Amino acid sequence: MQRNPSRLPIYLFIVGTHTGLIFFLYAHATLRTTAYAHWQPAVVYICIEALCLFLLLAGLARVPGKDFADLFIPLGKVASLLLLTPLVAYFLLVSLMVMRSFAELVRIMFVANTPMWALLALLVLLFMFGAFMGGDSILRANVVFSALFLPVLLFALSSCFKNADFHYLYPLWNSSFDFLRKEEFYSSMFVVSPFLVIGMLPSLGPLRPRGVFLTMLPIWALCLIALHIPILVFGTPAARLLVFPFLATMDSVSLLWLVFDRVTLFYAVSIMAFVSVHASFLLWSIGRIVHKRFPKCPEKPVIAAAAVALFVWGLMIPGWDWLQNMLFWETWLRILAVFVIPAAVLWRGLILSRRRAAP
Amino acid sequence: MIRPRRLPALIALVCALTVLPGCWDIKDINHRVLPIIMGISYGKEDKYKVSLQVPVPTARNIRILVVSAEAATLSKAISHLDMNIESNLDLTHMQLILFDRRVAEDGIQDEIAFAMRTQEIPMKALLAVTNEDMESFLRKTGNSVVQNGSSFMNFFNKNAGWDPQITLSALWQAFETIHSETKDIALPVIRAGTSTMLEFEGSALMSKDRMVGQIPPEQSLLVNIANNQIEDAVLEITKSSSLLIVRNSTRHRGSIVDGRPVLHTRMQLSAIVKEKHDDKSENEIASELTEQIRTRYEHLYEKMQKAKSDPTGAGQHFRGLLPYEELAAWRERYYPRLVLKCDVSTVIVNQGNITSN
Repeated sequence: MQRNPSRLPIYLFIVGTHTGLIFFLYAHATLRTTAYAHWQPAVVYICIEALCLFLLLAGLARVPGKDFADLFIPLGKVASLLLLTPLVAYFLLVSLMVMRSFAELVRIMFVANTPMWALLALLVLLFMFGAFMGGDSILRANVVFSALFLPVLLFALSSCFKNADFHYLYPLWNSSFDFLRKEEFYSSMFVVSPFLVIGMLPSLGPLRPRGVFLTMLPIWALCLIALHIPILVFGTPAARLLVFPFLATMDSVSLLWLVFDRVTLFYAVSIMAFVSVHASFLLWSIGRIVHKRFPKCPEKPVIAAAAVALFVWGLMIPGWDWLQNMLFWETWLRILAVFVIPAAVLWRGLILSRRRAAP
Repeated sequence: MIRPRRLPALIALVCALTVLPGCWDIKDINHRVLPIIMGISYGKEDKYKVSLQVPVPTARNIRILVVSAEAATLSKAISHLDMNIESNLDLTHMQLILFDRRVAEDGIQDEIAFAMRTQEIPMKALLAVTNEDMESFLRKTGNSVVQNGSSFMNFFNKNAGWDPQITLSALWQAFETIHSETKDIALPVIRAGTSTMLEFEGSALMSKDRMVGQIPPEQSLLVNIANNQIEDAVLEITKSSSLLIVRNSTRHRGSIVDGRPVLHTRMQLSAIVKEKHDDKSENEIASELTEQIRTRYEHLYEKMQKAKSDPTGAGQHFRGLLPYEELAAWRERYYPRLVLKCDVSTVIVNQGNITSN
């Protein structure tokens, strides 16, 4: 595989995968965890992500050029299956969730009558096409998307401040920390999961931990901003009622001088680009991991099978509430993927580097 | 000659043709009608009566169609209208949702929720209240729309015919304040004008989702001043002069003294002298305006506190001072006991090109 000497595509890719979630599901996921002072759960999420990312990067840095599959497969048949199966399942679930949620957004927003299968087929074909192209191409596509859509999103974001009432930041402190006891807090933890894709990046280009952390800083800032914009515009109680708070906030902006009546259209298109990048990469990762674990399985059929599974699964979910329930059921899988996998990577990294140092 | 390797790609491309035209579920623009005003009132037989003002383009001009239907729910009434109109109703360009006064007084929470839920009605759509019969209002204003297609929007457009007395409230703000603990809105009360298209009667004070009173235009101007919503000059008449207020900045600060909320409001006005009768000095004129605005603002506050309506968002300044659990009781327990400390200062910018009469 041709190595890309520039690190920019990799950093932009980390931004892109996060953007797809931050501007899409992040606000609702965090808003439902508690009644007020939402920066608290947001900061806890950021800390969790920073910690897990640190473990992951510390492990990956010790064994340059190795991804999840390379690290876990030498552990033996059973152990590698035990670690890789939940990872693959989790990747599949995240793609399912972003795909189904995006289809729901499109249905709520533009086309209430279009059958779900048509929307899902379009999305699945798009993701599959992206995954077939391979990780390198997804990274390159993301550079183009970032150049096209990040400015649009940032413009839309800043235009929302026109309607902001900063008094809604108060009350600032919730000393009960009740979100820690709530199921929603743990089921919403998928918002920190995009960092897991970093574990599949080493085969595409060199990673520098410091660079990755520097990339994460603006992303975390963006998390807090994206969460607070619906709060500042609608107030906390009303924002908590919205399913897509960000979409509604954007819809509320009235820019008479803008040629286009609704900024939301740009928003939906931009989100779709980043959601596609994220989901395509996850599908490709699934193909990669399965291929490495079972060398007899070629990548493309695995990707196609995963895509078909996504499509069927997406169709089987009858409505929005079921999607939310599904998030509750797979909480354990999420905790496993978010905490155990990075820890395992660090452990493998330590062992392998020690082994290499003292042969 | 097509090489066999390219064949699948070709087939895929041809198949894409069936999807790409995007002619699915989409009704062409000539098969749609785009209502601009929706009126919601109570029906005679069923609960709601929904009236729509629909501009229909004809060969040379536009014709205004006013249609209404009664049904138990809003969406039922709208789908009933859709059935009777030959084209497809498309609500995405709705500019104004007009409530009959009785509907507004009974509460508009469900109606606002309906409008927010469908994503079809833009959240920027403005809200207003009217005392008139809905259909005759829509018909009368429709006539002026025929003469000037944009006259309706100009009334509410800050860059066109909007006046600082007119309180503007959009759908999303109604949704915000219905659920907010510490903020309300004031909706404009309008009627069809005799010579002009619309006439502004004053503002409806809302408490959460219910209309609880009405204030005259000069008081609703103060609501806009308190919210820093003045982007235009406004004429004020005092005993001995006419002044054009060209700039205003209002700051509020909340504090709690002995368990009572105290709101400090500082209004800074800049005015230009337009006319004066007695030969008074600038200082005298300024203090006249100061005094007038302050007493009127205090009257307005008494009225709003009695009605438990908080369109200037006084409660917002206490969000950080009261515990979260107490915020829900803001309108009932704290707002009526609020002490207003209002401090107005006026600067006379100039007296025009002459110094004295």
